[in-house]
Amino acid sequence: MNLLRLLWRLPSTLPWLLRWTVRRVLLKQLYFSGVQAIPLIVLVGVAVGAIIVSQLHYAIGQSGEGSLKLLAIVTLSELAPLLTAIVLTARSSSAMSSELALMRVTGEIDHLRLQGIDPVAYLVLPRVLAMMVASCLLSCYFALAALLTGAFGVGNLNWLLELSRLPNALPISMLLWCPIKGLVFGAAIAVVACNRGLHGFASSNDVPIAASQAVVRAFTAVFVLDLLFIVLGQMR
Amino acid sequence: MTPPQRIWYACDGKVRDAALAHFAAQQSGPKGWLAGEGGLLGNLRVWENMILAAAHHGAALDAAMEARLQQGLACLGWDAAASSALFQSTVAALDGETTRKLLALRTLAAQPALVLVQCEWFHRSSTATLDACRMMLDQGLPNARWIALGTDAPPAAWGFQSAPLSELNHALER
Repeated sequence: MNLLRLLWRLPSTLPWLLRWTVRRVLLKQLYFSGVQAIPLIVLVGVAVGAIIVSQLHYAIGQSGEGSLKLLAIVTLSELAPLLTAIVLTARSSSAMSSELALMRVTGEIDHLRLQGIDPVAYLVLPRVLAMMVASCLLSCYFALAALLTGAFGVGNLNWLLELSRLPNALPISMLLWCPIKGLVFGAAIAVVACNRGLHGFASSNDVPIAASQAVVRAFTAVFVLDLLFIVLGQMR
Repeated sequence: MTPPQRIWYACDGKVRDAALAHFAAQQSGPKGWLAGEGGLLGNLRVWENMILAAAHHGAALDAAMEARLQQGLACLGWDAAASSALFQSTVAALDGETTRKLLALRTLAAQPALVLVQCEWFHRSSTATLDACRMMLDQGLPNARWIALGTDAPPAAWGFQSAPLSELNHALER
């Protein structure tokens, strides 16, 4: 119920983005959830690209071009947004949730309210927007890292040639699928984490519980949303 | 007859929490908030805490704001060097007395129409701090409405008038 109320309230707080106080929190969150996660995301992307290509091309014997096309389809449509969401959930949602839970337990959320500052506009909105942008861009970085690794694995020094063939083999809608899923997953992770952080018991024991529950609920939300995307994709 | 500008309600616990939320919701814009304990955000530096409410409600961070803060800092007994070090510090490094002074300074910076006070803010502060804060806030916020909530009455020098609890209960029921 609190989650729905929070979702309902978020759009009405968008005008507060005009205030630098909110934009400052947005930039801090972008740095934490986005910039600082780049090395890990790129590393996972490289590993996924290498694993898939090695299995398809070297173990099963699929052609180089076919392996790269399969890698592109699987990465862009599923693995990049999903694995990025999993990394972001593990890395950022627990931090987000425990920070807000600690603020609630120490009365800082009430202190904000009593100064006339809406906690949803000041705390939740920038976190949700930052996570959406971070998830969207990191999904693209993930896909790029996986495809570059795959192209190198298949074509060695001709990796650029292998990569240049890809756009003809993939529909445009598949290229859009990756950032769109990233946006939705990012929103889900942040809303679930913020909701859990803002609501719960007013005791310090609730802080680690909030962090752990935020991770579990965000994973659940991401996988349910991914299933919905699959159903939606099949209906098109 | 004009209504009193400074009212004290003798209440505590959940009634006080409800009353604080009620009065805060009635007034738009930034509000002064003098908490008995804490009151600043731990994940911001002191200077960010001082201007947060004012900036969040669109106040310009201009020369007037800087002059107001400098005047307040001087009133509270901090010179330029001490102020600079204080503003750069984290909230965790502050003691209770300094925090209570900073809450008053934040209230001055926000220029609110309404100031909410937990009576513990008065009773935990030293006389010297209270005198300095009163002088600063009387000069800086001559037209603000003040509401104090707590079981112990605010010091007489602050000029609060006691209001019956029934009035508060009536306001909360509405």
